[in-house]
Amino acid sequence: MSGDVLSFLAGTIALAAIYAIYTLGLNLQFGYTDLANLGYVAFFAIGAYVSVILTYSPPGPMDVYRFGFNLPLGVGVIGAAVVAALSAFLTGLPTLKIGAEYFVAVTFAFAEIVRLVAENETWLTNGSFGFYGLSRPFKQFFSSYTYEFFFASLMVGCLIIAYLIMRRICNSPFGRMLKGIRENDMACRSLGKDVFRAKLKSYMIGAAFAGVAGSLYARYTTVVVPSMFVPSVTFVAWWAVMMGGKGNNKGAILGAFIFVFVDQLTIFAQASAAYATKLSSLRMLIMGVMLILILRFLPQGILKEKKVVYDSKI
Amino acid sequence: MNFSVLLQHITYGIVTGSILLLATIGFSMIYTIKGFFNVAHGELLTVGAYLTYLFYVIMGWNFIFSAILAIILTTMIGLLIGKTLYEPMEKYGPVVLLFTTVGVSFAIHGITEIIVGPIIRSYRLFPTKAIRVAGIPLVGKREVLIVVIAVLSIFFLHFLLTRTRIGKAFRAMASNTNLAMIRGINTTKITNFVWIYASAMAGLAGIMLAMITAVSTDLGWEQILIIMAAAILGGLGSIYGVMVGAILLGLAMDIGVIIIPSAYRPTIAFAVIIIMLIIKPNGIFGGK
Repeated sequence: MSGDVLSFLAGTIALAAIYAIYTLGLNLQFGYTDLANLGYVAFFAIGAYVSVILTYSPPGPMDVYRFGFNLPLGVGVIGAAVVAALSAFLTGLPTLKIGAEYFVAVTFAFAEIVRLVAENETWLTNGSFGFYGLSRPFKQFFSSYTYEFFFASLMVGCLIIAYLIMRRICNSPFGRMLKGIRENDMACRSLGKDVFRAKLKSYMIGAAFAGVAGSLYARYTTVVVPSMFVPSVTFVAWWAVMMGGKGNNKGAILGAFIFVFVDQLTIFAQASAAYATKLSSLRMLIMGVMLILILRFLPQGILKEKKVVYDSKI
Repeated sequence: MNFSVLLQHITYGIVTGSILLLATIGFSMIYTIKGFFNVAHGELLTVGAYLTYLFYVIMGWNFIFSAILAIILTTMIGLLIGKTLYEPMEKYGPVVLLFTTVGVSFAIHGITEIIVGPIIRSYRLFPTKAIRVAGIPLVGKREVLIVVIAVLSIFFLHFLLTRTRIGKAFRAMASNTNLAMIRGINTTKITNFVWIYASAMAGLAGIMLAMITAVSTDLGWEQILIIMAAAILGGLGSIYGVMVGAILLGLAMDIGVIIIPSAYRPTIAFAVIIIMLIIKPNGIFGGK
């Protein structure tokens, strides 16, 4: 029994680490650059699908899907990041110049388009059946029980790498410029900064993080189906950013962990199958109420953004 | 392509557009006065639809009476949420407000799903015979009723905005809240009016949508994207533009399915707004 609890915990930590990487990307887009991306799940979905298509076995004569390249998993992750960033480039190009409200609506729409494509273009995505039985990295070296722990530590390792990369980006001059754009993009423009370019870069980097998270998520679930990428998954990242504290990478990670732990706790508390749907509805209610309360009483989130004071003598 | 098929799609488009219009007016009014996207607006459609289901199917009351009672209750819920959850958050700006509405929308979705479960239901209204024009069967009486109510509500709103004190005050507040306040307009009263009117229209739209499709907990969630699209197409903050935007979007979606597979119907709405944003970023009637 305690073994069950432990492996459940390992699974939860793995999921939380994946969601944390996912949230870090949105934190760069929204927390640092003030890009209210309501279609963030699109990049998560693109990442998951690209990595699966790159690594899945080639289609047999009976299969509906047309592509499967059987490449190593690492290529899948990199491909996911690249394609997610490219699709951000394409959607960002026309929308980042116009007002923030329009960006909100277009990204929202883009996510829905991606989901509909995943559902209907069976030649590419195998439709609503999706891809099943995905292989997990280094599975052959472990027994199925110990593998859970290995996978969790692998995901935490990925999270640490992602965090370090993100911290590097945020502390760089580029990161400071993003904050400047967030606070006052007119002032940045008058200082000769290319605001549009910086926004586009931030949008693309954030999307790449989501793409990587998506590719890892596909390994976590070992399944990729369109219903995994409904619009509410966007709000998982938003929820985590708002809860943990926007503009603070540690906050984003904390928010993602809180989300996953609350989420998994309600699954674990599940007494019987009859209550399963009730509990999933209850989960939504709890998440909604938590979001309302945190915004009401701690509008900056649990971990506030640190005020950075630069030495004026330099 | 057959002419009668086209005509049928056009009439469906007008029906879709009429419902969308009612749903979008409230969304747009809230945006005009408060400056934030109310994502939970779609959930009020669900609430209206389910309350009618409760009164009409479960309690067995008269449909019109059930619908009116449902709209009144939806209005009260909308007003209550607006007063207690949104207004205290105004000082934190539109993004925090937007996410408060997301939280509210999760909460409402969760509550309705806990109560009704995930089963899709219908009002089980009697099927009506399609009205034929020149031998082409177009739409049933119910659809005609929907369009008539939508048209009446446009005239009613127009009357309200141009002839009554409260409507004029709303327009004043929409163009400049602070100035309106200085001029002695009771902005609290106008805000209440907006919560009430927007929620009532949302409830009505939800009932209509449920009449021609089905009652499900995702009803509002599926609509909110299209509502946003219609509001942007018409020009954010322009009430009349939104009416045109909603009808155009309804037509675009229902005519579009002749060419594009119907699974992509919502995509048409998004494609329309993306094209719109590139050509005319402020919407059809938006001039800033």
